Amino acid sequence: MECLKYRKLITYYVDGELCEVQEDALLKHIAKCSNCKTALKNESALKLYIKDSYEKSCDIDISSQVMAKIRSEYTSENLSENKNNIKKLGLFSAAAILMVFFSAVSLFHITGNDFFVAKKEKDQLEHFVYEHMEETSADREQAFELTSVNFKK
Amino acid sequence: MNDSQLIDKVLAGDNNSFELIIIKYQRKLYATVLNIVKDADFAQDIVQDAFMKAFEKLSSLRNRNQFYPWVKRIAINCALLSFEKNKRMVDVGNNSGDEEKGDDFFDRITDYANPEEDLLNDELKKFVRRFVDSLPDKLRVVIILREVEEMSYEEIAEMLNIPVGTVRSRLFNARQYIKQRLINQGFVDGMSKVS
Repeated sequence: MECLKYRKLITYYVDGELCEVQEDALLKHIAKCSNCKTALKNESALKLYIKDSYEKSCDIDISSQVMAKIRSEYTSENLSENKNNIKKLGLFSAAAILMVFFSAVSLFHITGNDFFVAKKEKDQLEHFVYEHMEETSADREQAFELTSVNFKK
Repeated sequence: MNDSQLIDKVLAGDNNSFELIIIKYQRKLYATVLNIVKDADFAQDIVQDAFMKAFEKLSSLRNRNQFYPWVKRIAINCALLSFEKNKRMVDVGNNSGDEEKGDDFFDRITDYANPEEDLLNDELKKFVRRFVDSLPDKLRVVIILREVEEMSYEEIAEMLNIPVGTVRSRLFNARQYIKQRLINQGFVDGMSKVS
């Protein structure tokens, strides 16, 4: 019954995955139990057999295939990247031209309006000043005349 | 030239240096993947994919002297993923017939070896391989990663995304299963006493 407890520990022991306390307990048990000692030997042997029964290295050469794939994928990727860059550049240029065109149109439109507005305002101002100047000068003349009348009086 | 220097050259734009890395590791990596998927063509595809992925993500590799463990991880992950999807399992061990290996065995016998012992060991390994290959995938992958790839319990747990306790129990169950089958086959007398 006690051996069953140690059977799992033997598996972990051969894997080097036991803590110090468990390892001490297992080794003490194995020292007095021949069945568990055999189990330990079998477990170690099985580990070795599994390891040896599998290939660690196989004769194969895929380097040229992988490199061909890398070259083709990365070249085509570069080409498509260049195409994308050219596309982007074209779009950017078109956008820039349109922007300049619309800016010019709007600028002309604004400047034209300002010109007419300014011209109209200038005419009105001139008219206003002219009218007022006329009024002022007439009043002044009248006033001057009155004053002079008074003096004369 | 070490891995780190080769990787530096690749990252500087010399793609041809990557070929030297492939030549260095392809055999080991292929053997690892083949042990997991058990199909030569499938394994070859996976190794190619792994190298392609490694090439694409090379700049993300922090420790450049750890290229092989890194690419092995990529390959095993690819293998496990494709493995789950396709389930294209072919028993390569059974395909390599006894007759084919017969000549190799006699070639390998040396003067100082005990022929009977060699024969027994060779037979035993053949059966062990067959029993491991016939394990359910969950147990088989864990035991290959542990015994052949020498990965720790933690590494296996991380790679398979399972708890360490599950790795332990799967390993234990897998070994019990193989031992039981060896006993049934009449190979190990001593095992019958303790299993």
